[in-house]
Amino acid sequence: MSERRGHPAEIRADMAAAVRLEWWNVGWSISIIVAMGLAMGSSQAMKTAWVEDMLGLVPPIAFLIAARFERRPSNARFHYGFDRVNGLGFLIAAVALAAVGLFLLRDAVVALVTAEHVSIGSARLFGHDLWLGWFMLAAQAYATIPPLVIGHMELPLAKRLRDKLLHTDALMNKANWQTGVAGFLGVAGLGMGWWWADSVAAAIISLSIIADGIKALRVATSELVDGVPCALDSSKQSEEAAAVAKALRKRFPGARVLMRETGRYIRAEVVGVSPPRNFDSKTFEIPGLDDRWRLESIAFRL
Amino acid sequence: MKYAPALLLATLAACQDYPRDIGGTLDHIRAERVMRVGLVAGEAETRDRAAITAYLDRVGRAAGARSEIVRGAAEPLLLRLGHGQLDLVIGDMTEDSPWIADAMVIEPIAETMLGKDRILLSPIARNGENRWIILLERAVRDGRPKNGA
Repeated sequence: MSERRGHPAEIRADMAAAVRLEWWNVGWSISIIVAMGLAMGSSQAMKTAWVEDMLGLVPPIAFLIAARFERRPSNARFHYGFDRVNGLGFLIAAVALAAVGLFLLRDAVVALVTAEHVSIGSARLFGHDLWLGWFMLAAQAYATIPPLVIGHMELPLAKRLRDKLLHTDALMNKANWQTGVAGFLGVAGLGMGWWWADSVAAAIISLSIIADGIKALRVATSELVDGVPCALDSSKQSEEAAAVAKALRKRFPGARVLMRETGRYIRAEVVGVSPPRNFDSKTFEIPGLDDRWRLESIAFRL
Repeated sequence: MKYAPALLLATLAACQDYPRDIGGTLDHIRAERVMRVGLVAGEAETRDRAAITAYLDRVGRAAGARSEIVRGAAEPLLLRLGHGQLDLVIGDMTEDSPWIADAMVIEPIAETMLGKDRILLSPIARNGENRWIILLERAVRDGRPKNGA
């Protein structure tokens, strides 16, 4: 049972920074959704980018909800606390990321197959007829900057916090700025008379987004079915989990060592031995595990 | 830096032709000095004859071309527009016309009411001919009475 109330002291400052960053993320995302909504007109490519920006809100909101739950102590209904809310948010974010990639690919393929020619008209402002494509280009350029900056700032925090939900949000931000660049090139290409430019750029980018989404889905489902703790950006066992297993096998030869991950924490179980007297899981030496907070508990079972 | 003015001039020159038409409609009209117009047969022909003539004059002046008009039913004319056999169709459209998705229906040059519904006499262009569409839109706006006039 988790006896912790709130996050471990070692990660509180980083968690506070991540929560602040995600509030900024939500604020900037809403401003992008408004700007794109005003500029999109009848352009299907802009509408797609707008829907993707809406989906981009899912990971930061999931993170903020998960962070709030994680702080709660265990209670009569939830004996193991709320560490796994982060894992649940991670699954939701992974689904949203994969959905963005699939949505983008579908739209690009349909536009290419039907040879869709997009019309962008003009608006009269102060006596001048301005092509609405200029407003779309400005909105797309604006839409690339916040996700580029925020995603870049999220990565080191996600690494220190072992937060796969935050890492997935960084991937979503990468998807958003890449989609913004594709949209910018698409509108600019359309202005050159290249109807296919937008769709080709979007199709290429969608493949990398889908790959990231599928990888995140594999890790998220692995965590929910008690798979071994995974590295942040891979479905392979993390080096920290390997270090814990190695130290426990050395200390308890002949015993089975089982491990799973609950949110950002590793829980280990040693099967086949009685809990030794004077064994303190907090001070038990584990070479290779520098951030000790990562190991939530070591349990014993005969 | 010494190439900056030349680069700026080249960019400005490129912007003059920007955006371009996907199918090159305006380039074709300017080269041939003819714009192929489909006029949907019906009430609008007589009801809004003056508005149609004035509009085609403005478009013709801006494009440097004369109009070559064919008359017919809406759907065949719109199909010919989609195949690039016409540059412009003018006809009555409703606000929820299914053709809105398949062609660029421009702001109306005249409108009449049928009960609570509006019938819009609209120029219609082929999708993606964005430079041509801007010219057509400008000609609609230039025909509207100025505020306070």
